[in-house]
Amino acid sequence: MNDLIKRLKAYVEENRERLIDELTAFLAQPSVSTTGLGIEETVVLLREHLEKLGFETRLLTLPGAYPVVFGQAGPKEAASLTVYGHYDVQDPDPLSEWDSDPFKPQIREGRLYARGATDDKGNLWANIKAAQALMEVTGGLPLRLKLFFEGEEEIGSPNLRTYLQEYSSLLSSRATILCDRGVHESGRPQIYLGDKGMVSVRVRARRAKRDVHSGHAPLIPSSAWDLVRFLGTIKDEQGRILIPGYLDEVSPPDEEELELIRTVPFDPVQFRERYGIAAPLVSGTPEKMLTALLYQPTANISGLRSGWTGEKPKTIIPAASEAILDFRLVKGQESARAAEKIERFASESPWGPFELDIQPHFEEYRCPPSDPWARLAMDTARAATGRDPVVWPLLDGSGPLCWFHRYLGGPTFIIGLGSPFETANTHAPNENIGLDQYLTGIVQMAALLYQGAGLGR
Amino acid sequence: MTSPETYIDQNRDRFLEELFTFLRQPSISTRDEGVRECAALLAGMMKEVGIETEVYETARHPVVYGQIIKEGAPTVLVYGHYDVQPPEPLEEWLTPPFEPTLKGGKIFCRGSSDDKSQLFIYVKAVEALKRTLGEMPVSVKFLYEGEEEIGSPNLAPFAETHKDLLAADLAFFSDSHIHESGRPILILGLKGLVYLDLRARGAARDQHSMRATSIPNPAWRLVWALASLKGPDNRVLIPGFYDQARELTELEKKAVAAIPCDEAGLLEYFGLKEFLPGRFSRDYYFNLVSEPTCNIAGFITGFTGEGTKTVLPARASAKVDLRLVPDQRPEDILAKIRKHLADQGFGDIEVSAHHSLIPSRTPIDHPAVRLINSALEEVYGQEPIVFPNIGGAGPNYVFTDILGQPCFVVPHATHDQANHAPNESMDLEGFFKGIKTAVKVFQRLPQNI
Repeated sequence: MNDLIKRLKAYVEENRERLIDELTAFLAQPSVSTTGLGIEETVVLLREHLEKLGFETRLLTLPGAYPVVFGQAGPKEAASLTVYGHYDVQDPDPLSEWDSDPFKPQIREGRLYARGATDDKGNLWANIKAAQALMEVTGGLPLRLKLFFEGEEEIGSPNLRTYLQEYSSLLSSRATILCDRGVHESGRPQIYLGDKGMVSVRVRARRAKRDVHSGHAPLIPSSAWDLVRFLGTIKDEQGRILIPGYLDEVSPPDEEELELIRTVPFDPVQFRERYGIAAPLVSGTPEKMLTALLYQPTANISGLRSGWTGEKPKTIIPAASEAILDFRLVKGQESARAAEKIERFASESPWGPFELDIQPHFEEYRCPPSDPWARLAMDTARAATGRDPVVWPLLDGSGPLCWFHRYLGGPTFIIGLGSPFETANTHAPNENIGLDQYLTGIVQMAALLYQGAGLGR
Repeated sequence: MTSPETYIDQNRDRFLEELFTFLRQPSISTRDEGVRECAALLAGMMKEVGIETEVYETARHPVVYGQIIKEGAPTVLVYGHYDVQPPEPLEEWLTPPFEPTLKGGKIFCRGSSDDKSQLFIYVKAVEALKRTLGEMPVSVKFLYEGEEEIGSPNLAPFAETHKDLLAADLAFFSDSHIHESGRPILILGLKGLVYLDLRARGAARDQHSMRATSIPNPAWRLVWALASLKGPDNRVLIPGFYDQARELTELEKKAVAAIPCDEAGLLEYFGLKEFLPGRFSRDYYFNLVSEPTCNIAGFITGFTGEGTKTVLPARASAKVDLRLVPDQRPEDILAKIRKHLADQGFGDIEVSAHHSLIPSRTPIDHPAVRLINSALEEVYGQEPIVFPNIGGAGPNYVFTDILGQPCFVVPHATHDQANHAPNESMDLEGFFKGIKTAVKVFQRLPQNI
């Protein structure tokens, strides 16, 4: 593999200027999915570029959805790999806080500043360039590569699941790699082998027909008290979820996963400082804190609303009160079962009745660390960068990995090729990608594509 | 000799004209509109009937003070407020808000019932008594403030610093409304109030909720803290909360039992299947009058829009109002809440008190109760309803607590007065009934207390 890496590095060095210019041109094309700005042009640009490189392309469409740009290349009979990226970007507002125009990319001190530089156009482009590099260095793609570029990630991927379902035979392959996010802040490559599931819950209490003067408080049932007392029974002050049976299915990390956790750099002091908290809810060794972060289910209140919240005092008994919660699901949990337990608990609550809106969003998913594709991703990352990758058994957040796994078959995981979260400014002004990051990403992915062919058909 | 009642009837039109002049003068305390002009106008009208009147400056809007003294006779202190609520929304008024308009036996104008007509009653009562009897049967003192609609911030300080000036045997509180059945009402007290802001803080900024296992969430802290305040039977769980709560006497219980109550109608009005039970009773008025409460007026945190946004909020806040009965003291209750939260491990919840009011309940066996009741019954032709106290809170404690006077709220507006709302109105006959009631009470007081 070392010889290949050398040749790829040489190629990238020789073509450095062109590779940067091309990414610059791609970033200069706006593609804001919240407003629709430049989406069409971006789709055309992407598709034409893939065609030029010899990809067979298609626009996948669904009613009311931005299209998916799909491209495939390489021998049909070879092992296939799907790579996911998204071509849409976050709205660049607030514009006044950018040091340069978000859609006029500018290089400053080795970084390319533009909206989408890391999230996710830089990641996406590195994959196209990796395929091209392999074609030019080795004369062709040794595996069947399927590129799947979504245009709705920044608006919550409302159609991703349907796309995967509808086009599953076209898209499915031996494995799917999502290229998004960045390398670790230490500069080590970064891989996430899974993500959490999620159930979102809205609870609304309605009592009197209208808000009532609180002089009547001895008599009028209060939506606020009922909601508060119900919420108080969901979780105790130690953070333990009290819904009957809810924790039964939760599984701790196995030895293989614990081994990975021990390799993830984590500094408890830095964690506290970053979030401005006196003490985390779970403290102790990095291993203990990370295990809690990744393997402990959550019940989170993300919003509460009731009655009068203005500056001056107003005395009312609120007629309606609402809470918005999210439950992150971890190893062993399943969203339908979790939703059912939450629903039963709420409907049997002595503080009810409540109006409930319970939505299962994602399932938790973890690719086994021993999976050959995961191993390959780690090995090629190491070979391309000379450093051990930071491998998370799963992301601390929720995401769509479960759907890729369910509809496309095969293992799936995330590789971050962008700048580290700490410096990339994703979703914020002055988003950027380190030029070396981008170029190394090309080598890393090219090596993976090359070696992937060896994993059979 | 003309009786005071006849004098009132003979001078209806002029009384009304004078009232209209008073009503035309805006006096919106919250935005300092016409308040000073209104104070001067009122002072002039009081002087005209022979009341020694002086406008006292306070930190914001002036107090109009007046007195007419009869040596050796009992003294009544009359409280009212000449300021009004802003008239907005203007487009909902059917007649101009500061042009008094007579329609269907009602005077439509901002401030007509709350409280200008009701305080003007006593000015005209003095005139009727003086002009017909030649001298006053009692001494009357007037304390008319210009800040009620902004929470009476200077009323208590004014009373504290003018105790001699305001010394009296009893106080008349001119505000509120009669019963919806048309029966007159006598209110002997109001609840006290403690109004709190509760704030919880977490991380420096809102965070992604995926870190919920590690980063403390102030919304949970607030929920747990609030939940610790109230038990499953709705009892307030703050230790000692009920210790000082004065129970109703047998006489007061009898009065409460006599308050007409259309429970089915009330349930329908509020859209409820049943009312909450109290500690001792399921009776509507018994609980309304005698139960102190802890109420959540509102709370807010994090994301409350449509759809899904998974945030771990950095701060959460709630507004809580506690209504107190005699002899609960606001500062004592506040201390008990703070101690309870600290004891329960919620010392991190910041508690700040907005303002507080001391509860009041004038004894129902005070001799003036029977006197006022019979005057009301004669004037209205119906038996009055007596409330030992109502569920609302107000500055009555200034009289009962600071000045040590029994305090009587004698309303003459009707329940559909729409005070604080567009098309506020005062019942025309209520205005004259008020004057007649005052005249009767003032005449009989010397023999009765």
